[in-house]
Order: sequence, then C-alpha cells, then structure tokens
Amino acid sequence: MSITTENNEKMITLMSSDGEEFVVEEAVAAQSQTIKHLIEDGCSTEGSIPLPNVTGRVLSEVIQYCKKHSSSDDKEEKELEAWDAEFVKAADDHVALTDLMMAANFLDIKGLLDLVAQTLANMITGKSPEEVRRMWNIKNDFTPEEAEKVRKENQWAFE
Amino acid sequence: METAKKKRKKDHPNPQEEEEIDRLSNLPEDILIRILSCLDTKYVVRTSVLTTKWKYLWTTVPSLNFDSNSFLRKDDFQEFVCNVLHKRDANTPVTSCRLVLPGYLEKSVRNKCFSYVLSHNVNHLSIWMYQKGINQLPNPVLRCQTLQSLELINFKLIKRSFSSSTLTSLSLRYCTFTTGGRCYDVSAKFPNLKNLCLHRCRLGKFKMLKISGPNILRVSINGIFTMGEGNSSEECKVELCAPNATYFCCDGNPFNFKTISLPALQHAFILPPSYPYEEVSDVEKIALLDLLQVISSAKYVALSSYIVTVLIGVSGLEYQPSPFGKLKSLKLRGFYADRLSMLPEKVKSYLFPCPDTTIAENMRIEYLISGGSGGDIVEIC
Repeated sequence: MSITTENNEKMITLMSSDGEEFVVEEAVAAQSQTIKHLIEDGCSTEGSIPLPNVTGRVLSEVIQYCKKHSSSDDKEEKELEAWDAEFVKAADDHVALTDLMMAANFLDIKGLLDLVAQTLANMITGKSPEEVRRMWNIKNDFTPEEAEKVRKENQWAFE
Repeated sequence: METAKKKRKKDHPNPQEEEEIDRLSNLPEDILIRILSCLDTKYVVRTSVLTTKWKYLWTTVPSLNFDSNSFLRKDDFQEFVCNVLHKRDANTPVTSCRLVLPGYLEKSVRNKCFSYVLSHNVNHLSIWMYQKGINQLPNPVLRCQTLQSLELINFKLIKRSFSSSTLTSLSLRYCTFTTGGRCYDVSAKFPNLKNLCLHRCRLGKFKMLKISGPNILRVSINGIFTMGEGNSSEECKVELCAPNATYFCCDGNPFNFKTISLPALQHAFILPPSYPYEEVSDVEKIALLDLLQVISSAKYVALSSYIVTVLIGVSGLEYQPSPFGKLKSLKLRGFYADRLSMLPEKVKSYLFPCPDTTIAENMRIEYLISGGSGGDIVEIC
C-alpha cells in the first residue's frame, strides 16, 4: 500500500477479522507496536494488513484513540486526559471494555492498555466480592466449605 | 462516540445470551494481572474469594498499592500490610509501589514495607506521608539500584543523603530540604535524571536551585521557596540549563528564573494563576521578558492571562522583539476572546507578530475561558 495523501502522509489499510477495511495514516497505525513491526517486516506491501484478532467494531475505536494520540503534539496533557475519560465513558459497557483491552493487548498499544486497565480496575474498586460477581456474571465455583475457608484465610482484607 | 456506542448495542442482538458470559474471568491471566496492578491492593486481595481461578491470582500481582484511607482502624491497616507482604508470592517482583501512609504507622511496619519493596526490584515508587514535617526518607531507598522513578509527598529531605545515580524521574511535592548551603544542584545529585517535577517545595536556606545537563528532558516547577528569616518565604532563584529539554512548565512565580537556556524546547507552559502577587517590579518584568525569550524555541506555548496582564504594564514593550514568531500554537488560558481587540497594540504585536507572514499561517490561537473546558478556537491566517 503506497497511497499518499496531499499532506504526503503514507497511508496503510488495516483489515479487521470480519473483513472491514480501514485506511489510516501510517503514523497513526504505528502507535500499535504490533502493526509497526508488521510494516517494518514488509507485511504492508501487498494488500492490507490483516488483523485476525480484532473485529471492525473494536478496530474503529482503537483507530479513534490512535488518531487522537498521534496528533497530540499541540495538546496539553490535561486535554488528552479529558478526552481519554470521555473515550472510555463512551465504551462503558463491560463487553466493549474487555474487547478493547484484548485488542490493545494484541496490538500492543501501551497508552490504551493502561487506560482501559485503569478503567476496569476502577469498576472493581470499592465493591464487595458479591457486587463484583453480579456485575460480571462471575459464577462462584467454590464449595460452601472452600468458600468459608478462603474467606477465613483472607479475613484481614475484609476488615 | 455516541453513535459508536449505539452501534455496539446493535451488534449484540441477544443481550440475554451476552450476559451469561463472565468476560472478566475469561480474560487471559496476564491481562487480569495488568488490571489488578491498577487496583488498591485491598481490593486485589478481595478478588481471592471470587472463584477458584482468582484464589491465588492476587499473590502474583507485581504492584502494591497500600492506601491507609481504605481502612477505618489503624490496626487493620497495619495487619493488612503485614499479611500482604507475608502471603504474596515472594518471587514476584514489585515493579511499582504506591504507599499512602499515615503518621501513626509503626516504624517497624513502615521499615518492613520499605525493605520488602526495595528487595523486590522496585522500579517506580511513590510515597505519600500524611504526618507533617517529620518524615524522613530511609537511606536505603535512594541506594536501590533498580529504582527509576520516585515520587515523594510531604517529606523532609536531608541534603547530603538525597542523591541517586539510577533515578530518571523525580517528583517532589510539599517537600522540605533541611540543611543549608547556598546552591542546590539537582544535576550533580541526580546525574541521570530526565524528568523533574517540583511542587511547593521549600529549599532550606538555598538561594539557588540549579537544574542542568544533557539528560534533562522535562521540567515542571511550581513555587519553590527558600526559608528566609522568621516565617517569610522568599523564593529561591532557579538556574536552568538543559540543552535537550523538550518540555517546560512553570505554574508558579515566573519571575525567579535566572540563567536559563532551553534550545530544544517543544512545549512551554507559563501558567501562574491570576493576580497572586503584589505590584510587579521592573526587575521582575525584565525577568519575565527574559523567560519568554528563552522559551521562544518552543512550538507550542500556553500563557495564563496573568502574563498578558503583566505584559500590558511593561513600558517599551513595542521595542522588544516578539519571541513568538516560530510558534505552531499559542494558547491564552483564562482569557476571553473578546478581550483580544481591547489589548494594547504593543501587546498584540508582541504576542502575535506579523499575522500575515507564512510563519503565522501555522499559528493557532486558542482562547480557553477560565474554568471552562471548551472555548472558541480562532484561526489566524
């Protein structure tokens, strides 16, 4: 892929697992270490870069994040933080956040990984284990005896 | 982003089925550990009772976040700290550690905590002491060879021992240096430092703070005080000479920089709050003009409205060369757009030189109204 825009930016095409194509500036995509290495290894010369682990729906959000953070030269940190907060708020259902987390991990985008990890951590903070279980549909697989034992062993964390 | 969310909902036509899946526990273990690393350790340990998969996961989290505010009784916090240190997997390093410690914490517990993290290859350490004034940093902390970044809040620092050759990031907030001498040379004490942040620190009897060297990349300074006679707080002069620094932020007194050289600067933020000082003296005005000249190499500059106010009072400003000819963006914080036309001509031409040259085509002036998040962006071409 060697399309260039008026601004002389090199463009590359990313293809999601469900066949959706995204044309983005190389500098935007290269925030993903995984994509950066694929480009360096010459995987982008013919056709688009396939990303078999990321659906189009998630990829479009990842690209949104990368775009914001690649043109962040003239933005103050506080502005970016505010944007990040809005970004994860818009993705606040659990499904989206875990998918985003998996994608950020596969694509190796540190900033996004940290952002989503912190958001998910904040959703656990201040909640009792029962509330966390309900929130995430976590099935308690301890036998009643085991459950009591582990609770007793870690009672010091429940004071 | 609103539309993205709606689309997401549409992609899952069967919410009932969706809800059955435990998407958290199904995440790979390394990702779960990454999430747990962001969490207050109290809630990390509590995940042990969720399911059998979670039972021992907490013991291998390479991060400790002890916050005494999460506990109602002091004994509970102390017991908690001791239990975590005793029961977590001893072979898992503690790459990052954040401690919010109360004054009442027994010294033995505190030291146990420090020696544990120091012996577990800590890279990032942040310590916030609640009790005022008497908190001293234990010597072994700075001798720790793995330590890369250190944040201290409310500490009393003894000059002689306060140095490290491994540290690349140092952030001091509400800290006091206790011993005298006329000059404190940060670069001599921390030769590998890249990032420095000083926030409301008192520098003993120092008259000069020196920050220099090719390693320094980012400097952020907000109010450094020298302890004068009695209780008056006379500010210490700052000498800055960092040939590779790209980021400089001063959100305190902008008049106390003496020699400064920042040729590689990209971002400069001179943001003292509005009207905090008495009448600005001529010496201070010259110091400010010098500072603005020094940051002229930056591409992105933000100034608070206080700076504009001081510039209005500078007589002969029209004869001063504008430092802002090479900018890509200038932001005026706390400044209403409609005040631009009311500015004296000398200030306008100082801040926005030759608006019809090619240089100025790239210049974006953004007016951020104080306290608000938005603001109009006015392009000047």
